Amino acid sequence: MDKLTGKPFVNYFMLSVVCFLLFVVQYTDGLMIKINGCTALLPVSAVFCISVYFREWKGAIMGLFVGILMDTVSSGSLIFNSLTLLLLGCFTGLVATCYFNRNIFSGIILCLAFSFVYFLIKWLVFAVIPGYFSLSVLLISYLPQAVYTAISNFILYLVFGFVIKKIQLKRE
Amino acid sequence: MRFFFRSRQFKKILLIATIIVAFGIICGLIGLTSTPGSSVFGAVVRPFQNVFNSVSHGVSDFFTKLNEGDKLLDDVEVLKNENEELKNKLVNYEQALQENRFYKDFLELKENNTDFKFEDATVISRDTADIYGCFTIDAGLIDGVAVGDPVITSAGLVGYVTETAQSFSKVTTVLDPSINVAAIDSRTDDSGIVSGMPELAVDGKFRMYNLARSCSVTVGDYVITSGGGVFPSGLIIGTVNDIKADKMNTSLYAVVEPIVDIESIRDVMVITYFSGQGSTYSGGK
Repeated sequence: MDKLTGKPFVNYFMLSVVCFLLFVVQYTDGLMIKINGCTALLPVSAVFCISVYFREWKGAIMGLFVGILMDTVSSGSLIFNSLTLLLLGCFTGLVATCYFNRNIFSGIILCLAFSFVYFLIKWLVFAVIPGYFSLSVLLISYLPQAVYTAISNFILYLVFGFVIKKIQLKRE
Repeated sequence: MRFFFRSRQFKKILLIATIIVAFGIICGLIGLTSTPGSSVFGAVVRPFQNVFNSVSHGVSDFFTKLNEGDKLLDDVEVLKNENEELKNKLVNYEQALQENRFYKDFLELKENNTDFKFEDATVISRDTADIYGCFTIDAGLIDGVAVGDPVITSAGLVGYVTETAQSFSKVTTVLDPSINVAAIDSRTDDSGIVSGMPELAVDGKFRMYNLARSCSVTVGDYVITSGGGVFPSGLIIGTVNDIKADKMNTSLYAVVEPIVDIESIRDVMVITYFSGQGSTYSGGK
């Protein structure tokens, strides 16, 4: 299931377009639903789905692409998203391929793990290490975002699975 | 899995990660606030963000008018009745006059500060994951914007430019702990430093700290910039909501609510030059 079409360039192009659209929707004012000021991170969810369905190499490359896009709008992150999503995309793809069967339960576990690891690293880098540790910020901001992103991971996981199956059935 | 760690793909990924880290270190050492890749990607993405932004604002304004039409008619009726009552009363005339003079002084900022050079900009994207409300504007180096330039609206100070590329810039707001603005209470002239605090940022507020225990700052006072390098003097930053003692109980800090609604601003002005502008700024990640 790690190939959409027979042409690698088309595969990468399609995945890039999806990631790019989700990025623009995420960072345009008024398009994202906010719950108590927190939203899910759809580009991060896209990287998760790509790494689970398309394995480690595509997960890493799309993670890098999405990370660079996110770094262009995030203040002070320089290379954080590029590096983190590159490595997370790679290792998630590896773990998903080697240790998990592709089913609902493994999907749920990976959704939660990916989201919480990303926000844990972000919290450590932007809150704990610079000395801005605050329990209220962790509970009011980082934790809800991790939960919402885990939910969007799962929803996109199902959507990606459905779309990829349809495309591959059509090819056959 | 072991085979993957010995494979070419893993070595390529490791190489890319090393290059990214090296870029980051080099950019950090030479003082660049964004990598060249980010600047290029940002320039490519910007037209799409402008389009999506325009569509989003158009749809949002349409539904606002649709939903609030009836409410506005009711409000007009209530206001008409209130207006009749107010015509027969002179309530707090002197205070209203004083506030009017106060606002007039600051609204005439542009006319009175002929040395200010402004660049208009629009907010094109907002980092939804950032509790300090940082955003990106569509003005950059080609528009004369530089790192450290104050960003304001007609109401008051929003923040300052922390990263800039050719055609866009990132703005750090007054809610961010990395910002440090020399400020005074407009009524009592008590001086302090305005900076963000994570616990207050989640409520959309920040603090003015280093206030002497003998200061007379009270709730409702306006906090303005005192000038001295990065920010010109006289810019309204916010209003005092509460006064608290710091952890060591040696000084006080004021909880301040920004004068600008940072989450909903669309248009800002960047002060690209003012007389007395310093070459360095305090703060920045």
